[in-house]
Amino acid sequence: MSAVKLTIDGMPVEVAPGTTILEAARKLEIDIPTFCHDPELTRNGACRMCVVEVEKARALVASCCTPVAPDMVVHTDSERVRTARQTILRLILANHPLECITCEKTGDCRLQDYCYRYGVSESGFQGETKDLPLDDTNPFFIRDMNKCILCGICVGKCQEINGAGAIDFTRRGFVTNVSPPFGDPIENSSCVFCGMCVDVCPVGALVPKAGVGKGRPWEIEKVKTICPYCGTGCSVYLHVKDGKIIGASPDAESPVNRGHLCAKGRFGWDFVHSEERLTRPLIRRNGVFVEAGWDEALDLVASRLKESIARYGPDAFMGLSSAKTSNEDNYLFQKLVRHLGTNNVDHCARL
Amino acid sequence: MAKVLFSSWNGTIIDERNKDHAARIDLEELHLPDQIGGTDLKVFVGWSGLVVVDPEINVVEILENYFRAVQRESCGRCIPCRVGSKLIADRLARITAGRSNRAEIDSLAWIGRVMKESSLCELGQSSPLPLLHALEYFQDHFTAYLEKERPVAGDYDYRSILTAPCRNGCPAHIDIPSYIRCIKEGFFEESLAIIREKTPLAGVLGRVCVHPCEANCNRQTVDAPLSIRVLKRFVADYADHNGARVLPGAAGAPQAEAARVAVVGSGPAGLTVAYQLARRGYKVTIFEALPVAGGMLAVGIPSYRLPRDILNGEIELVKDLGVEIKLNTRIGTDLTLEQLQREGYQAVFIATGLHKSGRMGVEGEDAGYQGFMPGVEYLRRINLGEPPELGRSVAVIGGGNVAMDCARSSLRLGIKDVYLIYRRSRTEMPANEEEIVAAEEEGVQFVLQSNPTRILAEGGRVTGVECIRMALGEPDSSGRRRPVPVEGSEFILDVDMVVPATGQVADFSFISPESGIELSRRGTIVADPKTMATGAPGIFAGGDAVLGARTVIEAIASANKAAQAIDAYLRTGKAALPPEREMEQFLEQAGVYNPAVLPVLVGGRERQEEESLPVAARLRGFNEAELGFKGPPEALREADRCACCLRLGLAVF
Ligand SMILES: Cc1cc2nc3c(=O)[nH]c(=O)nc-3n(C[C@H](O)[C@H](O)[C@H](O)COP(=O)(O)OP(=O)(O)OC[C@H]3O[C@@H](n4cnc5c(N)ncnc54)[C@H](O)[C@@H]3O)c2cc1C
Ligand code: SF4
Ligand code: SF4
Ligand code: SF4
Ligand code: FES
Repeated sequence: MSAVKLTIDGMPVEVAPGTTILEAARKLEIDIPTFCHDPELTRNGACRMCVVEVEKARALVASCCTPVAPDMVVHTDSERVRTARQTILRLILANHPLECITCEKTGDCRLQDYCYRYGVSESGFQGETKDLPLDDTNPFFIRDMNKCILCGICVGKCQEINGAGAIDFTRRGFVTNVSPPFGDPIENSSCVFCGMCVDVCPVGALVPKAGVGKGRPWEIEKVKTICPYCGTGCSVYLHVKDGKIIGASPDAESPVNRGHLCAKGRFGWDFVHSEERLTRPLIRRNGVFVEAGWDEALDLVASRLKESIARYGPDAFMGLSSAKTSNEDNYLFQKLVRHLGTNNVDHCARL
Repeated sequence: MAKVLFSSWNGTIIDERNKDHAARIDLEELHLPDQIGGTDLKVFVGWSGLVVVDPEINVVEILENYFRAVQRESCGRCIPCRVGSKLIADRLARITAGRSNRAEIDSLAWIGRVMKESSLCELGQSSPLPLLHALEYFQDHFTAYLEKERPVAGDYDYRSILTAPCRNGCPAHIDIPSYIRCIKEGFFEESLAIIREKTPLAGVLGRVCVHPCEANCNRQTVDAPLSIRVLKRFVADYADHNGARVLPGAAGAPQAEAARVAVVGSGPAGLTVAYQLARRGYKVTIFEALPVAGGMLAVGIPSYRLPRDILNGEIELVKDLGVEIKLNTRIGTDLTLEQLQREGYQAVFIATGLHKSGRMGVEGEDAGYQGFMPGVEYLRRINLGEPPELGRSVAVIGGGNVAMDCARSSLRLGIKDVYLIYRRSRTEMPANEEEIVAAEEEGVQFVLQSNPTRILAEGGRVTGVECIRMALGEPDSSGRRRPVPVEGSEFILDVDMVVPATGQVADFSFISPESGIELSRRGTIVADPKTMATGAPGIFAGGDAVLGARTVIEAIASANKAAQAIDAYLRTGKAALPPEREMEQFLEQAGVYNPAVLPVLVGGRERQEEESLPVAARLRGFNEAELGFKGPPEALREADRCACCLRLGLAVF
């Protein structure tokens, strides 16, 4: 099918039929604000932040779910559009707790960003607020639905991408909520704690528990690495502050995991700075482990290996390494084991 | 006669407040009924504005109720509608409670405008309209609440209804926007359950419904209407493929001592009444004269349009609810109506349809020639597996759907030359366009602007039909130009079969004059159009037997009304309508679809068409010709075109 030609903010653009106005605008590097849009999900058009003016249309249209049409003339930042976006932000603020000072999301919150962009500092429509209980019974993340703006992306990720279907919209009208069935804590639902919902929440309604109070987004250095847990090799950003890992998030660009992670890669980093971690060799003497020097420990291992091999042959021992060490270390490890005469070598991610 | 004080309905401001009562325009001119369930209408508030009849009313109080209803219906997904309507409702409540101020009143217009401008669906886009109009034209009603002596609350009745253009256009008011939305979200079985609130026959309607809803779909103002019928077929077929038996929940609390109800005729009307009453806990028995159930669905509509396993699957659903179907039992000969009542059936529903053929008034039609057979009989015999002795050519007479079915079936039976004789031109044919096109594609030869004058026969066997050419004269009462014969233009069509399909009539020999059931001059049963009650207590009627030759969905609509009225009759002794039906009726008269109001849609998204069998394969037998959407992606793409044109109306009386 032939390309569709249209004009956005006075600039001509050509896109494939079926492209949305939002996608066409992004091609022109026009930044249209969105809350509920996610390229991976079925379009839901709920938040209305992305509204634009299309000449000849009766009202504003949501650019994220309106496909382009030939000769369309679109204005993405007209007075009418800006006023609508401002009012939508003010409607959100009418029942959004303004706890930005302590909110984990401050600095990385789209609601804050857009309020800043459109100069909205308060609602001006004081209305009823929500008073929903905090769900923090699970070890991984906190759900504060009073902050939720009902964009629905978490619902989409959980249903369409993960397939867990742990959460959905409940009730109607003002009291609409996103929740596990029967308003139960997420722990009692079909949630697998992949954390996908946490990654995409535009506001502070879903936050990882481990990082609470540990650092602001701008204090964090994101270090890209490969998740060591399993052979899939997902790309992950470790959030590092003062040399310590305080969180992790998936790499959206990685061809391996395209922005997804499992519960281990997403939340399983506490071991790094664990007090219980072994940092020095231990030798068992009279039934108890006693700290020893590296030379002493390695000599002991070498002599025992030699003894065993001499007595029972090389297949009597095996080498087990950890997936959490580097490729190079594992390469050398298997070299060593094979050099000692056996192919009995494996690894385990839990080691 | 009710007079309009003020109206902003459908975009026209009519302000008659300064006029004398007599000089004001009639409510009738706005096509709005002046009563709801027997009480005078005071105000109507809805998606298209505000209509005020009663000079005493206070608009603010009414709007507060309206916005509370909006909050109840708001799906809660989009911010402008969810939060906006809540803020408006709360503010209006504060105003009427005397706890508001000027600034708050002024903020209403702002919130209303953003709701209207940027809500996701028409519920949020349309519901602020009456508020905005009130703020403009009834500002004094708002300010009155800021004074010391604020207005006191009036004693009104309120009744609200949520509808949509398509839903109002559907005679049975199937909740189309909801079932399409379920499809959009991938909840196919839930979607089917919504359709089955109104009838078990979803798979049937998905194939043969004449879809008046589509003629009311808002989307046609920007490109093409939604394919509402094929979407219905999609969810029915999807559940079928997965072996899912989808029924909605029970309807209402069953009676302690369940009454027995007899239904005469197992067509769409009879099946639907039985289904609805069984869902309410009644014990229902259907009496059917023929050896098969389904009425015209089984013995009229050919199986290449409606495969029998689809029909029978849906009849099974009705039986599963405990409905008994007694086949080969003709009321009038095997049992009488009086016997039914004597045997303890506390209510009877008559839906016997039209199974005899009308006369054409053509020489030779009563001679009993071999090769002459009326269309309904022809189709019935084909459907019951006893086709008549076939010839090599046939002339079908008529331009309606029955004629198309006769002609297309004839081709499938192997008859080489199939002619279709019709009085007027092709554009005036009453059959559905899809049917006409299919008949042409398959090779039916149209003999247009011609009328039969004589059936020709030799030795009691048809040899041909003499016709005369017709010219189009002045338009008649139906607006179509009346055909007039052209003298001397007679011609002969050599055929060995003639099948007239020019009208069906009922056989009411089982109804005695003493029964209290009145028959109309058109040869149909007279029944109250609201409750389908006949003149005889406890006897109701519906479908073609009352409406004349109509459609499956209209038969279903009349059955739903009857089921509600029968339920009321058995509980209270009075065939009354539930309140929600009264509002539906109000809107049937007021109308919802208005092509002049453009939806907030940008056109250019192609309507998805169903697959169909190539002509050669179709003619090989009675294989289904239309195949529905190719798969879920097409259905999702089609559902995604729906703009969800929800509209809320509130009547005050
Ligand atoms: C060939 C043909 C094609 C059609 N195509 C379409 C279409 O594509 N779309 C559409 O919407 N509509 C179509 N119609 C119209 C549609 O079929 C009818 O409007 C509809 O079936 C009427 O339903 P009903 O329940 O009132 O009666 P029917 O379907 O006619 O059923 C009446 C039943 O009552 C039984 N009965 C009659 N007398 C007695 C008695 N004394 N005792 C016991 N039982 C009795 C009959 O045997 C029959 O089974 C078509 C009609 C015909 C004839
Ligand atoms: S953590 Fe994963 S499974 Fe659990 S609710 Fe979020 S998206 Fe669903
Ligand atoms: S919890 Fe977050 S992602 Fe989920 S609906 Fe609310 S704001 Fe959106
Ligand atoms: S667009 Fe959807 S809701 Fe609107 S009239 Fe058409 S089918 Fe109904
Ligand atoms: S981003 Fe388009 S409606 Fe939310």
